[in-house]
Amino acid sequence: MAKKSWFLPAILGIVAIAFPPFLGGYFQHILILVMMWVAMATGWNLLGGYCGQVSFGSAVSFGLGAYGAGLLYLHWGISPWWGMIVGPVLAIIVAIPIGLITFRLRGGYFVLATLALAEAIRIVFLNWVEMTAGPVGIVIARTWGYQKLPYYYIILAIAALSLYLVYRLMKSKLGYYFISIREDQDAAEGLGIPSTKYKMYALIPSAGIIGLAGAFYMNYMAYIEPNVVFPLIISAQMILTVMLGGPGTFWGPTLGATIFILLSEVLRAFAGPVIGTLHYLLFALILVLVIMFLPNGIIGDWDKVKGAFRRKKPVYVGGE
Amino acid sequence: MKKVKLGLVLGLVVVLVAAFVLPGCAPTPTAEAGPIKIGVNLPLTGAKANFGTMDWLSAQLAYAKFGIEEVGGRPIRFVIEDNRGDPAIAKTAFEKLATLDKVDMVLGGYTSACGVTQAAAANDLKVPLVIFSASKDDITMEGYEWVFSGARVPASHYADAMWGFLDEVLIPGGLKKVALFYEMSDWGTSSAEGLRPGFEKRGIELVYDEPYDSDAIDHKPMLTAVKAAEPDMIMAVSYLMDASLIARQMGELRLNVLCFMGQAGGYTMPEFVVNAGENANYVLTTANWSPLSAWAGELAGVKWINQEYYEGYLGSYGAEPDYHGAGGFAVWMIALDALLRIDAAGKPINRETIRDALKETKLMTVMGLIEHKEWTDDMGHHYYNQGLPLTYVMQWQNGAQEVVWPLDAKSADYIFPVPKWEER
Amino acid sequence: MAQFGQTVICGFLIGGVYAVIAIGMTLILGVMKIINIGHGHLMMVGMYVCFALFASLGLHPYIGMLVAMPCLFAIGYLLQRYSIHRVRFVDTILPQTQVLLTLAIGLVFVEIIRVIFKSDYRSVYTPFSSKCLYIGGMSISLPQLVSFGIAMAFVAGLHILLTRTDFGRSIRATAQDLDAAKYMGVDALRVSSLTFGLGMALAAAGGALLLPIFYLFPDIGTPFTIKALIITILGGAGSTVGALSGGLVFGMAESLGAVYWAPGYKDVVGFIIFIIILLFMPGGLKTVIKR
Repeated sequence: MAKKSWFLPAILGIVAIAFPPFLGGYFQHILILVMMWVAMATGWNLLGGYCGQVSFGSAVSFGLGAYGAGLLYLHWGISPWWGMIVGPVLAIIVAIPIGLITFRLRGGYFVLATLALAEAIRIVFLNWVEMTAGPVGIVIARTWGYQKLPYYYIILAIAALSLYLVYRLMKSKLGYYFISIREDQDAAEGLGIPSTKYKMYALIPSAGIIGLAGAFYMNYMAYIEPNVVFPLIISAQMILTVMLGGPGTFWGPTLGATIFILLSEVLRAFAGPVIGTLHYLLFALILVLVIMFLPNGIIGDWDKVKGAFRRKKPVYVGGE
Repeated sequence: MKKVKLGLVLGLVVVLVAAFVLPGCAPTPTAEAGPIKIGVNLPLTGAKANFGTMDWLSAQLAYAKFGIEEVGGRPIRFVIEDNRGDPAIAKTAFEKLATLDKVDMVLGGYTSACGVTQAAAANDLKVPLVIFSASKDDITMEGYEWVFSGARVPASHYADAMWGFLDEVLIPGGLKKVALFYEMSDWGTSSAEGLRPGFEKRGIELVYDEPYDSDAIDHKPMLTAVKAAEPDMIMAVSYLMDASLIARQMGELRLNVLCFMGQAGGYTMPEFVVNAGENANYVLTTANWSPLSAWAGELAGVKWINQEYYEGYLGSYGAEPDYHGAGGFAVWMIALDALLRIDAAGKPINRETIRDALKETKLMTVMGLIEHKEWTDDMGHHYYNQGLPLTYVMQWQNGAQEVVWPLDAKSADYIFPVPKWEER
Repeated sequence: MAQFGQTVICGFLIGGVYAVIAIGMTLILGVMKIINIGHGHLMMVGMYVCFALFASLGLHPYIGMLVAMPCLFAIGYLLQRYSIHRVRFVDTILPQTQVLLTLAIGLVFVEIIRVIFKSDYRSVYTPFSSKCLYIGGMSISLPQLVSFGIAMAFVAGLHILLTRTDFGRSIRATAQDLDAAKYMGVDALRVSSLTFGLGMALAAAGGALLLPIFYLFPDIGTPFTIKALIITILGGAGSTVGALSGGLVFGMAESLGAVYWAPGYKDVVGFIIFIIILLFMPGGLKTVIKR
């Protein structure tokens, strides 16, 4: 990992901490969503971007985190804030057997298996009404009604924690193992790296972080049901935000999440009234173009992005 | 090199954030001087757009009909937000309406999940919310003083009229066993929870009781299992297309029962008979509105009757409305009535006075009398600011829906038991 | 007993419908190793073509299919040639870029259709839609029987195409070893674009057969993509016989699950079978059938 200049992140950090109290509730809400997705994207990136295991079932961790918090309240009347511990733990406990089953599969098959398992779990949560309240969902009372700031600082701390965790992991030996598994699993195994074991070492923090974001979601939105926290679109959005920013880069997920959330809301709220239902079409088109022309994300393909802004220098053949 | 790269990243992020902040910095006129802003928070795109659009178009019809464009010297302005049927976006939209646009009230709530998040946001941010049709019981059970039921009927009460029909017609006619199936979302599940006690109380045996996936292509396996259970009546809670498929596939399987009762939803929609064809005939359904009901009255000096709404919608948009649309029309009537009452009392129009006025709502609308009150039902639900519109039992006969119960509202006689498939 | 028989028949027939939808997927996944998450969405586009023809000219979808298939063929060809191909061989950090691209493309089509047709539910309900044969107290849906027959016809036709024609041989060659095929003079880009177009045309056919017995709205695609993926893997990617047998097994599992377990859990049965196949028989059913 190249040495990082800490100047910019420090500035961003100060902005993130000091700016929000001056904003209105609507903007604070958007920033909360941004930070939540930063955490989720960063968590996904650990397993998917750095370790190369593209899971289409990350919504499972998110949903389990949310239900970990919600079920505490539903069955035992315990405050869902304890879910911030129970949620990630539950997400990890379920992720482990899923990993053990699916990590033996490669490439496209792994993608499909995670997708299938995620859908199966969603259906189980919908049907197992005695345990999960099924489609009726769980409603809780919000701790802070009118104020957004406490929620914001909590999710900001979670996002910072996830970035820090990923930073430490990637800086350690584990980071090298992850990347080597991603680049060439057979060669890594040939060198004596047990791939399943290290994939699990990537999966556990990944599931934990995403689960923590899920537990936060329960506390903030105050209502969950299986079709809100487990659907395919949540997994897909995690992947898209990372792909947008740059998989396998440190700041990629953060950038991707920020742009994704802000862009979709700007288009919805401000372009929507003008171009009506076309706003989502516009958004999807932008996604297609980014994937086509920047397949490594904005940071991953930064050279291409820079190149687009440079004026083309005339090419002289022959030295004149 | 790195600094330039990350500097551009920072720049991009700051630009995007500024795109948000700057609009919010513009000075907004003081609350009681500028226009009366009414927020609308509905799914206008996405999978649920047809209902959201019907709600909003109906509200617009009401606005045009009653012709009041300003109250207390302040013009009425609508701020419309599309929530795509996603509860997180519904909350975002509500935040925007409340804190950025600074609306005086919000009309919202379709899909129960969006209803729940909007209701919570309304109560936190202290903005009055009138609900279109989100049916989840909880929405008006939480004790939110800023949330008003508007035209909505709680899911567990859709079948209120049906029980009388059961007691006086079906049970004496031999009804002992019922097969119940319901689509798997909150709508179906809550409805089923409301229905089961009613059957139990009457000693009716539920020989089949299962949720099903409303997106399924083939309901025949489920219907086969139902057939094997030999019920006298089938009770179903469905959306539109699954209702249509079920009706068709019952015909294909020749599943004969004494009668089939749907719980509003898909079974009352005009498209049901289009999509199910002749298989729709004889289907009974609970309903909370009918184009045939004779509600009429006067608001803001303008006379109205229910039939006129139906014909107006059909004429303007080329499609028949159903109870979602009637709800939309009624919601605007409720909002307008509240605004007019405030003005008549000489008070300024703001969020508190609107809330107080809505608490006193007792208005005849196209859905019947709507009153925001506090009460407890016999299932132990305690509601706040919740009305109780009348419900009916309707039956599809010869391709049209007729009101068959209660008898004093009927437009045709009920047909029970229904003819077997082989005899049709 | 009649209940069991009826359940089996339902499963069998719906399996035939699923098989037609999956045949296009198995071609693309098996030959081009592309996971097309937009498969269901493009099928939906084909269904709207049929619907538009029905609504304006009264053409039954079985005839509309003959128009929808070439339309989707063209769309598929253009998509592969100008969009998907770009990301297939680019050296990216994650090789699954094409999966996401197909997802995003699918979303674009959904929104385009939504702009044109709105989100309203549409259906094509003809007198034939509900026609059934009644044998021994059990009912057999005729439209589904027709789908089954057409599924067999496509399987046979595709099989002939792949084994007896030059084009088919080029397709199989690029599937087995892309570089070797190129050295042998196969125009990989052309072949892959034509193959993708063919896969999309088959998806459109599946949609056309589905239309009379189901309904239509822009978001209909995702569950079918998932089912098609499962059936493809179940039967063995690249095998048309596999798609047919996979479809039947899947349909049967759904049907039996809905009756003997619970309708709400019927999809879980399919997923469980899917995971088991992935783990223990990744080649799919075709490895069993070929013996």
